[in-house]
Amino acid sequence: MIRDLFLYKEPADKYGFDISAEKDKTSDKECFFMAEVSKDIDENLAYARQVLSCPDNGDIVIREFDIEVCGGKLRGFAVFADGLSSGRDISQNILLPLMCLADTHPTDMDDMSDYILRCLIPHIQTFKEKDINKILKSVNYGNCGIFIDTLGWGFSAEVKAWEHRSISEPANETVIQGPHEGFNEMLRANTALIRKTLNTNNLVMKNVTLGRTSKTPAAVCYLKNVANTSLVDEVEYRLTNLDTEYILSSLTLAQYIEEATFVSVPQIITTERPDRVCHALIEGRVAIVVSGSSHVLIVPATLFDMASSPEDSYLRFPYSLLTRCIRIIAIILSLLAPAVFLAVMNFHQELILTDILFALSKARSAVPFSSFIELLLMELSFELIKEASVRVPGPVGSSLGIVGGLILGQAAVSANIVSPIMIIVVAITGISSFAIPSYQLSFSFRFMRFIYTFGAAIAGFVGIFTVMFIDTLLVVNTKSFGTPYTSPIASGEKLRISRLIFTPPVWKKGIRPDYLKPKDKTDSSYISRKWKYKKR
Amino acid sequence: MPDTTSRRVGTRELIWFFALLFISKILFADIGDYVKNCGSAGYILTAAAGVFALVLFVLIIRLADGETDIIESAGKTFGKWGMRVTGVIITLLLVAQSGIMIRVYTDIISSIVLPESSDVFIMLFLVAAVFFAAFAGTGTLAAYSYVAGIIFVITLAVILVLNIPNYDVTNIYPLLGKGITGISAGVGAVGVYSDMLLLFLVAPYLTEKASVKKGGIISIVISAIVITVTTLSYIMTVEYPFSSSLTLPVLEIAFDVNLDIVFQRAEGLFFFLWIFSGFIVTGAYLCFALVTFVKSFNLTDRRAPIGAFVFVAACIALIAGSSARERELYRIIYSVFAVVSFALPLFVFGIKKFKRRQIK
Repeated sequence: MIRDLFLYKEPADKYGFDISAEKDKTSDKECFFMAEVSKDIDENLAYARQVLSCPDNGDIVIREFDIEVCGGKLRGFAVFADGLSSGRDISQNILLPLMCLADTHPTDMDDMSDYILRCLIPHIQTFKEKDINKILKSVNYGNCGIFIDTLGWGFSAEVKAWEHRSISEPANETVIQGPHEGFNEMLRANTALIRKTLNTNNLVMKNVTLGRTSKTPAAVCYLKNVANTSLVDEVEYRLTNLDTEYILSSLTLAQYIEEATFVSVPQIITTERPDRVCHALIEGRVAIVVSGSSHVLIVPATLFDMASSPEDSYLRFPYSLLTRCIRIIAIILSLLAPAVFLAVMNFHQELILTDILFALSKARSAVPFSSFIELLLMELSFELIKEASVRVPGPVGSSLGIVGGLILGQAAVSANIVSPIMIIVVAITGISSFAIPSYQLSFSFRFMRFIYTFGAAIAGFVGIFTVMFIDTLLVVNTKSFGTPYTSPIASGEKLRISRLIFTPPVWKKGIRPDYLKPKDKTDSSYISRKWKYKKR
Repeated sequence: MPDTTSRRVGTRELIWFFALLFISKILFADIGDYVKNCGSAGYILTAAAGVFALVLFVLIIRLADGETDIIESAGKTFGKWGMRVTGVIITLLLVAQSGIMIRVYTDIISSIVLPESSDVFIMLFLVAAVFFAAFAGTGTLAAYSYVAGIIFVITLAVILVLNIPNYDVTNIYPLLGKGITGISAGVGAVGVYSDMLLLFLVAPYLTEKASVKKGGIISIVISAIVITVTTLSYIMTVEYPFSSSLTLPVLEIAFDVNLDIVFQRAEGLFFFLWIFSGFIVTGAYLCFALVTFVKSFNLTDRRAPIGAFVFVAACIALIAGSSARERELYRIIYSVFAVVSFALPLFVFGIKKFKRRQIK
């Protein structure tokens, strides 16, 4: 090593890499296009290899075989994606009958493709198709494509068997009382959860595909005897008029179909709970289930839907009333507490009692920053802790909360960087924001809280009220699938304040929301508890 | 042409929108003026003004004969140019009203809420709010006012209820104050309802079920009750004939309320009423100025002239200058607006009815 220090060595050549612009999409390899299945099996095979990038694609399996028909041999091949399809189903329900039973071909069967479909492939969900691209596309979704020489038809069998998450408790919408099952990423598992809960023939689940390339399967769910027809049509219209290559998640889809992108409030309910979807469908709303996403979209949504929890209907009337009132207070606090504190401290000291003012001033006397900077520091720290605790693993997350919240807070007060009163204000705001049931709505409030705080820092209550006026105007102006976002307030419909703020007892909830304009306005009779009035 | 994508105004929204516009006048010096004119009978004057406004409204509605859109009626009665002249008169008045209101609201905010801030700085907030109100449109503003109107009345009721310990019932004597002549001379108090003119501009933005007649009558009744109760409360709080130096009676009442729980007094509630009504009132004037202008000249884009209108309103607010000049300008615009508000619909609908009769 010491010797190397004194010896000169020729430096090794190093080559950098810069990504170069693609000359042509077809580039070096010669590509050809087929619209229909060819009668020549070699052509089909070559096209399948080209489209599915075989053998570059390690997970795509092409299995060639021969079938014996009337003494002669016909070549064929099956193509499927390893890991997405069930090898057992392919072997037993497709290859075995084709390879072993094919010679039983009756003479009166004119069309060989029909014979294969009806007699040789016993697999339950199989269809024949002329469009070769459609068959090859289905391979990416767990199907098995089957091609046989001289036919001019191909077959696609649904042999999906990929690994998926089992039905478990929803991570973000936990309740103490109520069902604990949540959606997973499987479309059919999710639709099954809804159907078995509602158990009615009126439930319709229309299939749609999303994305020009991804062709993500989705289902539009509604109750045909309740949901407004124009609402269902509008949902379908929006879903079928999206021109984009990929839609991989329901949360992405929500951004494509919502009306006002730049308004802070979310306009579509996203939920992981089947019971919440079922309640929404009973009210006359429409749900959109997207394959690969554990969140189901519910439209239309209003501000008050966002502020309600699935647990509201499971709790007894007095308890749900209390929790709802607490939630309203939490919403107001999470949005306005820091801004009001700042306005009072900086602009309107005369409003508060002198004793309180002295106490606040004394608490802040040693802090070198202005109350706005102090508040901003605390709010940013709190947001940092929140954001970091989401990213780190569970056990570390709770430690992070303790370190960030308790130790850092205590240290900041001891170092006179922030006042204890500011810690209290930020903590109350933080706790209140956790009481908001909708994650997306709490995000909206997090964002708006900063705007209100800036308003308060600039002009006290005048600033707060200006922001509030503009924000409220924007929210009032917003519509979710034709429904005013602030419904039932300011929707032109009859306002039932009692129903809005105080959830009525379950047996009194006989009327569906007016603003949804359902086909059937009532979901139970005026006297739902008939046992109370019937003669025994 | 009304924007088909914008919100429509239902009867409930209409009622509270106009009730808020009428009631917001009590935040100004008007009540104090009535009490100065009539003494302890100020509340009788406001009740009489309410009844008079109701009679006038019903009369105009009967003349309108179901067609309550004043611009459309002017077009049918006087032709295209007649419609344009009517539209321009209303637009000018509304823009002027919006501008002077921005100034008045700014003046009070700067003297009471933010004494250390410059007028222009405060005006910026009002101008921003007016801009967004005009952008959102009549339907949204009315829908917003539905909630704001109810909150306004509840907040006012809270102030009045909290003020109960300061009431002196003997203040209402003598019952007729300065006498019946004082009450009859105070008929100008009907000017509080001058925003009635806007009721004859709102028709194209109503839902199918909504009715100007029903909305107008109920909003006038609600505001008459609220204004009368507030005047009575003021009379019982402040001993006749002397009032303190404050020119805003509701603020005076709020100052007298001793909360002593976290907040010292109730003037915070007054600020809330003042600022919020300021946004809605100034925004409403500009909104209606826009729709009138657009309709009169058959324009298609309602939002295009917003910037220009807001700029003109802001210029008017700046022209007002000193407080004395501002008060003078406010009085002039207020009086002209009040006269035109009642005279123009009476004239337009009256001529239309007369012409129809002649044809028959």
